[in-house]
Amino acid sequence: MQSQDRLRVALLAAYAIGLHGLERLIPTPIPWLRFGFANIITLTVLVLYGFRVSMTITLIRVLMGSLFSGTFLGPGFVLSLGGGIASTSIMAAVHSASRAFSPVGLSLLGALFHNIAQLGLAYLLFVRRIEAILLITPLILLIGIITGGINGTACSLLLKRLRGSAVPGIDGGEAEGGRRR
Amino acid sequence: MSLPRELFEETTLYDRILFVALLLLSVSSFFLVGEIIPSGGTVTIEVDGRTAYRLSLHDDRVVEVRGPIGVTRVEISNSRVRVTESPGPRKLCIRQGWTERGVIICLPNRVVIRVGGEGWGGLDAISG
Repeated sequence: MQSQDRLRVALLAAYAIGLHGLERLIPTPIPWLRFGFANIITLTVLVLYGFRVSMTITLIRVLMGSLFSGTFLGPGFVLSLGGGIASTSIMAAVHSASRAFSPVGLSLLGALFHNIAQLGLAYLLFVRRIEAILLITPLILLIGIITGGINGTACSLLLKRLRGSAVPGIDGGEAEGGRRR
Repeated sequence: MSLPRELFEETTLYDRILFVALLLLSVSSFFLVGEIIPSGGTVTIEVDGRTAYRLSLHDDRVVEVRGPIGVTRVEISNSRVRVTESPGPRKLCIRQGWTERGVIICLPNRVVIRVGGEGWGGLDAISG
């Protein structure tokens, strides 16, 4: 990876961390509700540069985000890490297998697996009471569909606007959204 | 081109199928979960006025709660509740024996166990 590529990864990760931090400022009726705006970056990067770069950015975002908010290695960090890895992996797997889904579908799948991973981890590590997990599952699934749909739509629009403009490539990732500079 | 139309045209058929399927899944899961979890018959264990546990009366289990002066052990079995161990000097709550409905109080240890009554209400069931 060249130093220019490193700069781009750092910049994209900074976008993700910024969105990740900003969304906490938005008041919500449920304290643990997260919009997952950082997934807009993850997904856009996945489409533009492929799995490796987007996973790198997810890991940087989870690590740095937890350091900034003081939750490093805490329960929130474990859930965030598990959810991030699960959603990035499933979106990459489905995206590389076929082009049946647009970013909206990929984002919905990402949100779904993010939530499944978090609920599973929460059960295995922290709660250990299946009825408590089952109780919040429908609500979390529903919220995931809404936020996943919104983030996917944002990603779709972003990619559409980027199309035609020169998107700089990163080694190890295929730039397909635009011309390589 | 209007924005909603533009957004719709960016999605594929599979996106839409996935969206509807997920929506159906989550809406039906609201009802399914209500079926799986028995309604009514809960056991609420409070320590010093704060709810420590809310359990189903129909799931047999033994719970140990720590109060100010020690550990109170609560046993749920056959839809009944009893206290098998508590640090109070007179052991009143243990002597009360099996309880199907009502309250068991281990006052020295500030433990209050409510048996029966309210069903599963929203997110209150999560202890952490």
